[in-house]
Amino acid sequence: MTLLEIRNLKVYYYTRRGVVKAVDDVSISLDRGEMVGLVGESGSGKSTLGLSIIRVLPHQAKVVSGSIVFEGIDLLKLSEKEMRKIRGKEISMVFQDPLTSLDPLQKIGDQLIETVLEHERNLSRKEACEIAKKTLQDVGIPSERMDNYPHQLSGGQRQRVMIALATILKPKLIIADEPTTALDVIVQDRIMDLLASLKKELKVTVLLITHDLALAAEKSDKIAVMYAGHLYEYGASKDIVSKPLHPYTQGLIDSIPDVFVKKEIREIKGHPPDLVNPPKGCRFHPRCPLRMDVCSVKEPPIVNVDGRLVRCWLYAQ
Amino acid sequence: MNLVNVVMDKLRMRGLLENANALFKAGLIIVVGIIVLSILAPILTPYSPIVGTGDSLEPPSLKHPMGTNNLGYDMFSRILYGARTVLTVVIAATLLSMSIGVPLGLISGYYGGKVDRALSIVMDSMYAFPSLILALAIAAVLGASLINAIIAIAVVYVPTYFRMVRGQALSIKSLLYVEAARALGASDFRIISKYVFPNLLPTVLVVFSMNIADAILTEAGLSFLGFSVPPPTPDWGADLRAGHSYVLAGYWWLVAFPGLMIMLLATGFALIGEGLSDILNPRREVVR
Amino acid sequence: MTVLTVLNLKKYFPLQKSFIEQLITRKKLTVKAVDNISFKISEGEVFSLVGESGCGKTTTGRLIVRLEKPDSGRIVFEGQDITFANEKLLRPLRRKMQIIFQDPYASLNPRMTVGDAIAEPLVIHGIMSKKEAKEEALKMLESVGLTPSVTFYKAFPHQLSGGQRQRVVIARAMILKPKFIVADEPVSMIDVSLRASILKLLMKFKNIYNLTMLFITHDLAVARLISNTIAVMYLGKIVEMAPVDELVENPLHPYTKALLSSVPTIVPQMKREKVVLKGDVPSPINPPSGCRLHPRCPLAMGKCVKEEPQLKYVGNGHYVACHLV
Repeated sequence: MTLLEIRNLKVYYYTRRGVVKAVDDVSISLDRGEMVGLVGESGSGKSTLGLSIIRVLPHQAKVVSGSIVFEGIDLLKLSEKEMRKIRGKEISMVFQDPLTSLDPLQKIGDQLIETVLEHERNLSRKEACEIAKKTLQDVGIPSERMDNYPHQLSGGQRQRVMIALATILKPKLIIADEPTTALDVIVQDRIMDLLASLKKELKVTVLLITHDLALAAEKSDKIAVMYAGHLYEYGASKDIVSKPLHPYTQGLIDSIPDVFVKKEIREIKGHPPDLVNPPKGCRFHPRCPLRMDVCSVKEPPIVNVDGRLVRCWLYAQ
Repeated sequence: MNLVNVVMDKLRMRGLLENANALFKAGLIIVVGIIVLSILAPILTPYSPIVGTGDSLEPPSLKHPMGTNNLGYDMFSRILYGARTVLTVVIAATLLSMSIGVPLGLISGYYGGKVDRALSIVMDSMYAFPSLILALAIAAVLGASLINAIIAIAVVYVPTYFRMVRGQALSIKSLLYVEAARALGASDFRIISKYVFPNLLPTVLVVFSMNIADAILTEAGLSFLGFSVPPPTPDWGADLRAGHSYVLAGYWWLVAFPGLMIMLLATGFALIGEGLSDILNPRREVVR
Repeated sequence: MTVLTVLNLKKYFPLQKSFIEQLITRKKLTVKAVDNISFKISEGEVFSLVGESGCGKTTTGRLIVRLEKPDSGRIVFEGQDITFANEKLLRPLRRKMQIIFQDPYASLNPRMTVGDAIAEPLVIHGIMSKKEAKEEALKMLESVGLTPSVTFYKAFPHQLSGGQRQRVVIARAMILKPKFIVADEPVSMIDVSLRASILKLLMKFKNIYNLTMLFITHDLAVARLISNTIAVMYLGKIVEMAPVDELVENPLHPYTKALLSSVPTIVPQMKREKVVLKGDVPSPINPPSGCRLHPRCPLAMGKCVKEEPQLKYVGNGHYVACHLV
């Protein structure tokens, strides 16, 4: 069942250098209770897409066109006041660096309690406190640490607090923007397991934004591959990894070393595109080993190949 | 620096300090303008600044655009030739100051240790003195002359350059590209000259221009108190000294023009400094 | 032939005590960054030091190229003891050992052109004239794929992308044709799709010059790709060391097993037994007694709390420091 539907979203950054077309006509839909890995390199537009949903874009960014429909409501048409009611309660966000996203001057217990009271005005502070304690326990932090300040916790623990903040009001959608990039690999694995189990218990949809294709492949149900502001492939993780359709996806897989696979890595030729002046036609064509003449002229349409969405002339007529 | 700071703050409050390049250009126009005028002095005025014209205490007129003083000297001439004096003293003093303060700061900041501690104590003590009082003390001991004025002012500003360069050297020396140079086998001298010094040059330039502004005020103060160039050498501070007792009697042009020029030149240099500072440390992108 | 021998290397960093702490305690607080590690690297070998942040791998790399002075132990490079050597002795050796840092943005002098930066080592060591050095630098630029070389020579670091800067850093390190390279996380700060080309560049130079490499990384996948031998570090100690295939297919130390079960992979079915470590990495200021992993290890015994396990040889070039083995 569809929870979130993004249609033809365009988000541009207006900078001194020119107009950066960060997200340029992206359509994607997320179902209830699934984890979708939004994979791309820096400059692919994945973070911008995530921030657009919750509408916390920097001031140089503007949503040019498109719609983001969440449970029947177009989020882009809401006022800031209405959006604030949704943030934290219906849709929440986990950021990359818990050190800067948690208030360093407030005890973690208080930050949780405040979040609850902000949205549930008729609860007493005591009731909110009980909810906070239970949520902390759910993320694996003993309730005695309610009175700790963020700097007294380790990186992994701080990220758990962020997840507690993001799940305390039982949202329907969590946007996790590189939630484990700053963490060591063992802690990363435990945090991802936590997210996965919360997803199952609370039936939350998780949009996992990451540059790590292997992480997305291992932990998420579906993978969406973004490049230069466009969505190029979207489908079940296992299928994408075992049989990638788009040459960029294939190129990514070939260029990333894997501990358990002995192979030669192959680089993707060329360099990342200039988003102010992206290549004509398919944005990947200058680097594509399988490019055809039409690729440099017209942008390929999105085609459905056995349940997988691909934007490539190899599959379109 | 106080007067200049007050002026800068007032401008800032009116939001005029938005575009760095405008600042820099404005300052440049003022300073270059004054320099050019002082060079063209012989063409611009027929009078000598140290020879009486026979008309004393004349108000500004077509014959004497800025009037004359009690000795009959043409004020316009004294202003133009006075610019030469002020600029010579101030630029020479600042360059002398830099040539001592910068190397000492580099050595102190880069090597640290006992040398650094000793130098820092000396420099900090000097820095604690108000610039005018320190200059006064030195000039009083040395005697009033052009060279001694240059020396006095130079000494006063050595700690400014020392402290700034030392601080920068300290932070730059622990940066990764300096470590990388060390790992390549570069000698200390090479590291200081090619890696540390070029990277603190922008800051030195900014301090240089702000500093000249301050030095102009110090020089004016020194000559007002009679400790700079001896009369009748044309000098704006000296004119203030000569003219201030006549103000109450209504002879306003004796102090107005010198005073204005001091402020104008100082502001010009300060604007260059502010503009440079903005150019070298650009702020965040402006929303279109 | 052994190029590098490291024996019982120790480096403790003293900690600044707060004012109150200075009044109350007499104890010297130190961060035991590198605590008694030993290993050997043979000619042409790529030896990887793998571990999470804070394990001491970066400090080890810096000690070996003598950017830091060890507290005790031995570092022997090509038969020469350089443990406490002074700069005068080290300078000629710096022609043979180079280090590549993690951050391509910070390791280049912003006020030096890229070409001059590459020519620097030749000029520093007085090997050739400035003109000849420039020629060599141009050739090096071609070699790392930064063409047209004449244009890149005049560029400044801020005009280049991260991947291009790292190529410059590699060119600078290689221009002296060194024997030994320490590469400290050379691709961690580079975009994922550009890492392959940087890694391939390193491997190309390794083959051309028969380089010996100490590769420092937290990424087991990268380590698997390019190493011959992997040593796993935890809290300043080497807990396991083996040829790369042996380590990945037959890990013996619980920490190595935990690492291998946590690493993301596109073939998760290949993961063997999952070992879960509880808690977080303790502070290196007060490491646990005995085996440093014992508070988190699911298989810890009484002996693990009291006695520190030593590195034992278990055959196949495989060393482990664990009481269970």
